[in-house]
Amino acid sequence: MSTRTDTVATALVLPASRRRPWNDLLEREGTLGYLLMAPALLVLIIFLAYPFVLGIWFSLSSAKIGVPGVFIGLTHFVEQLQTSIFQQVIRNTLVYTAAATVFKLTLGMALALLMNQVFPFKNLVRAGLLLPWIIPTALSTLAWLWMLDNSFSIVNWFLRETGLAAALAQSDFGRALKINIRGIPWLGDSMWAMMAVIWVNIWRGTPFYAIALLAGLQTISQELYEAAAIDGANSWHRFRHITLPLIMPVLTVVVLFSVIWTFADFQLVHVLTRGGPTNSTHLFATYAYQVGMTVGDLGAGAAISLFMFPFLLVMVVGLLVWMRRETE
Amino acid sequence: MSTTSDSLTRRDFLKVAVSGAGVMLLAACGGATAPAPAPTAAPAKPAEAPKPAAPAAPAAKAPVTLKGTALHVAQWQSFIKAADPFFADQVSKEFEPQTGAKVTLETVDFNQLQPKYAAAIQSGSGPDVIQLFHFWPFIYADSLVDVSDVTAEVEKAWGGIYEQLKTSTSRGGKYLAVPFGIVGNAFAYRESWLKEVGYEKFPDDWTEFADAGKKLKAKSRPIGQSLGHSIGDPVTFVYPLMWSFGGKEVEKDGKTVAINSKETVESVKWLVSAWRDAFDEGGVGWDDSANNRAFLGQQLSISLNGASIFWAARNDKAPFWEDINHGIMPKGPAGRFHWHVAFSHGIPKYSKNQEAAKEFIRWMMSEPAFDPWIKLQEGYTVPPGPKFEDNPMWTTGPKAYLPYKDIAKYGRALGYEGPASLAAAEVQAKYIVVDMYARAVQGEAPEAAVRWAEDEMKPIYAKA
Repeated sequence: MSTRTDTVATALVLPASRRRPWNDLLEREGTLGYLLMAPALLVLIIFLAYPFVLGIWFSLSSAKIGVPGVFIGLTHFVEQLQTSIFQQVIRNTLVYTAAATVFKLTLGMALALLMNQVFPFKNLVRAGLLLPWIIPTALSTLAWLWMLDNSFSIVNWFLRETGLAAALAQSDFGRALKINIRGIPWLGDSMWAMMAVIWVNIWRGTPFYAIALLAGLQTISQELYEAAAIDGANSWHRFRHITLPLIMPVLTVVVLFSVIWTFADFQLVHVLTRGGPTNSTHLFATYAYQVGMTVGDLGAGAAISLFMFPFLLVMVVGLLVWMRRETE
Repeated sequence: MSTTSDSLTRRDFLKVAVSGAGVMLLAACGGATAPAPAPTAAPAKPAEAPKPAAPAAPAAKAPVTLKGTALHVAQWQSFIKAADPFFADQVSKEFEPQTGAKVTLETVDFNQLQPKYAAAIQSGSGPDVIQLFHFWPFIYADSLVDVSDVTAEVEKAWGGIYEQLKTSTSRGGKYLAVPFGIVGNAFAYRESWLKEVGYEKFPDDWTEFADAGKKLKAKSRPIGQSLGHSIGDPVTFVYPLMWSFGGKEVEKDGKTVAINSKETVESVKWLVSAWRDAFDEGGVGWDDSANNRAFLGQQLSISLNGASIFWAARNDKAPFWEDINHGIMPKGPAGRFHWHVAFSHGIPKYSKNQEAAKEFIRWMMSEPAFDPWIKLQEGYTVPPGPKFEDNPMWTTGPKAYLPYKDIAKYGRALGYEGPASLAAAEVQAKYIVVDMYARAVQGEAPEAAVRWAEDEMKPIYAKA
């Protein structure tokens, strides 16, 4: 029998003689396991599963804000595919995701290889590398909004002060790119706006690739490189035949997550361009928001959102299959 | 040998943790009784408010029937910095003590109002009074209380209701929202700069307008206009431009899409050539505040806006504020039109304080309360009816405000030539007409841009 009286635990510990049946239940790992999982499961059900199922219902109904709506089947999906704005949204999202991912992967890989070397202040640099990823997207995008602002862009100021803007504005090359004496119409032209959002996405997402790939690189034994070097392999061969295959599992996960997040991106585009100019930077998420929130058509908005699902499924499966083939 | 007597076992730890968590949960649930006061979306910076022109009018009387009622009111963040703090002051010094009600006044960036209303209506709880723009009463029509009674009183008090406001807030003879006022828009321009290029008066038609702009742009002082996805400036420009050339969205039947016409194409062609020669071409990506900043930064000579540019310049004592004047929309072949930002207030059906909400609106729009608030803004907002056009404020204040006196009379509603409708609201919310012009100035052939708009509008009006 316990003789401790000076802790809270003491007060709650029952003498062995008065053990209740639920004590035995809790002792079993299985039951305890489910009980511990229950809060997390509850959160997932409330904040993920329920909205997802509700979203599916909305997409199949004529629901509007304040109007419950009736079942209309796949009408929304069919209607959206017939509008040119939505077709543009599909194109935009694919271009945005593909371009950003390719650059993030390349730059991230290069940065990871660099960071894997030993040099002064290595840890400081690694920490600094993570900053774009850590800063909340909405805030960093606001900063970019000012840097790319039509009137007050620091980039354009630099172009003007150095005379580059004037020179380019007069050349055929510059005029073809719509550069004027004020500078580059970063957010004021469809092409430049798309490049701007892709660029900010690359700026924000590269650290994620770099740090994750760096972690992967650190697990590769140096002996392998030494052995290959002795056998006459140059750095490209070492990269292609040692680094890449061994880092493939990490690479797969990183690219998978990044593609999903980039495809479903909202904050960045919403803050920078709101989908404009002329819908040239609208992604699925931003267009769904516009249709659902400002037009009030919840059904159509939900349908646009759900359109992401099959695309993502195809991309994810394709990616996994390709990566698996690369590893074998 | 000690076994469990000294170390904490897993069982002990779990018991403590679960009990502790249970206690905390109970405390949290029990404590959450009063709704937390909604914070304003941005801290109101103290700004020097110009003195209201009229002496303080006697406070409006509101009936003392609302004791204990908690009212939640949602409005936009005014572009006139002093307007929101002034109104909040009126509420706390007049409405609250007189009625005993407690009012939570929430001001939100106007592009964020709709998501807020969507969440409130869907969840069935939120603000009791919501400020509405444009055709929003039609978007939320099924969730708004009939406020024809309050509107009748407002109509009497202000000598009528401007046509654009009537169309935006009523359906089938019933009012979905109480018309509040009009934020008129006119072209803010630099008088001296226009004089330099030979224009003593503001250009009267689009040809003169383009000519003046071309000469000004040659001096790096272009016209600035937003053609982006923002609910104010872009819409206030493109619709009247289209109307002034004779273009329209639908026929009188309200169903036949009529935008693809020779007149609309002409208006698009005009803008394409003027855009290159006279406008700041970055405008395609602007929102509603970019032109304000650019004008106040002396980068623009002319820009369509509410009176907030002038108000800010004068209030911040910009050295050139006296050089700013306002011009009304140039005439086109089919006339002169404006599309103003029409404000109204609606009461959602979920509100448990509908009568209190009506009282609040009545008080807010009664002359003793409304008058000083309107005068503070010096013409930025005008009341919903023509009675205020005779107010001496127009002649005693800065001459730059004079064009706003009766500008509401040029106002026409969206969806012309059909009646007000949800379809017109959807076309505006999707920026179809705005994008029609934006696509053309970015290089698409005018006919193709107009055809694109027609293709986008047809399914919207078909399901109406």
